[in-house]
Amino acid sequence: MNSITRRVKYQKSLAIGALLIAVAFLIIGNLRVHKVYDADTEQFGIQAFHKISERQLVEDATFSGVLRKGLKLYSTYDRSQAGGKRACPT
Amino acid sequence: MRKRRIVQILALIFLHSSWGPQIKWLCNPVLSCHSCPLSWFACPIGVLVHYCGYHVFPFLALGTVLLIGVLLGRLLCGWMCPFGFLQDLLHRIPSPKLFLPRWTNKIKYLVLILMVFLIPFLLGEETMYSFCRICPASALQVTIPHLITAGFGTVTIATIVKLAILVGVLVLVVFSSRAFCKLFCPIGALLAPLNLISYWTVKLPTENCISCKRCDRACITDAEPSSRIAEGIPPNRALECVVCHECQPVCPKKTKQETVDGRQDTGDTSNHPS
Repeated sequence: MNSITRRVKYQKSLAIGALLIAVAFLIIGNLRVHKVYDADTEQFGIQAFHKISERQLVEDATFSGVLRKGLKLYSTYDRSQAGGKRACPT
Repeated sequence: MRKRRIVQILALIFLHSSWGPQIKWLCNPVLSCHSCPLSWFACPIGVLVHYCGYHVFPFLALGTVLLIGVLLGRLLCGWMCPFGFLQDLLHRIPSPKLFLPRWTNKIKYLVLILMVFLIPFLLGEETMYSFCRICPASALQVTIPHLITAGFGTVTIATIVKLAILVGVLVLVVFSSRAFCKLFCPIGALLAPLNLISYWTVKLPTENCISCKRCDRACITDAEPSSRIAEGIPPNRALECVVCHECQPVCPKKTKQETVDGRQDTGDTSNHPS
């Protein structure tokens, strides 16, 4: 019975640790913003970009709304238009 | 178990309906493709594939999966996953039933590491070798409806491979219960370790266990709950358990007083987190 109690205590402390990590991830995720550049808008070497939240980036990931080229993320659709989202390629 | 079947049907209808909210920034850890217009939530695997391709750490997606996993373990696999529900239904087709070797359960961790994390990280999010390209749920929810609406002229080799994998999985689950969950599901691989520490526990008597193995026969993932009950461990503390609770009603000693977590039970075997 003692080893079971020890195991349960160990599991509970691991669960609390994992819960704290999850909450920290959620807080960081909700605070973070990402720089996403508009494709084909480079003028005089300057590219236009939008700052989008992590939520927006997750939503964009569901239909490949963002692509990575080099070290930068680029929009695959016109963010100023409501119906500009493209279909997911998968 | 009738209660589970009702929850599965309700989850299928309510989480895949055009009138529901579109909460696609939130990952629901069940195998349901977010490219399906009816889907309410994002698929964590699809999001992780893209984030690995972006070289961005997926705080929100991983945080959500971790939170749900710590609280519930793989409960959603057993009760809410639409692809799990389909597997449950297909396995009811009368046929010889197979027990897959234990080592095959490790394949899903390889799928998770390679096809969800490593290959998209190295080759980009739109690589042909990511899990999304072969996902049978995506084939069912997106590829087939797309073929019907856009016509079969849009068929490519990738489409044929995806559909062939879907057919293979659907045939396999007729013979082996929840074979996809056990062998290939990357969401299962993500949540499996959290089963070992989750707050949700399946209550079964341990003191008076007569080793009748009825729980083993009722287990839909062949996770051998009797081996843990004999050691006084809750039966859901296993990587393969999908927390379906099917082992509870078949236990002949379920009305006894002592439970696996050491507390006194009134005979009620209802489920609750401890």
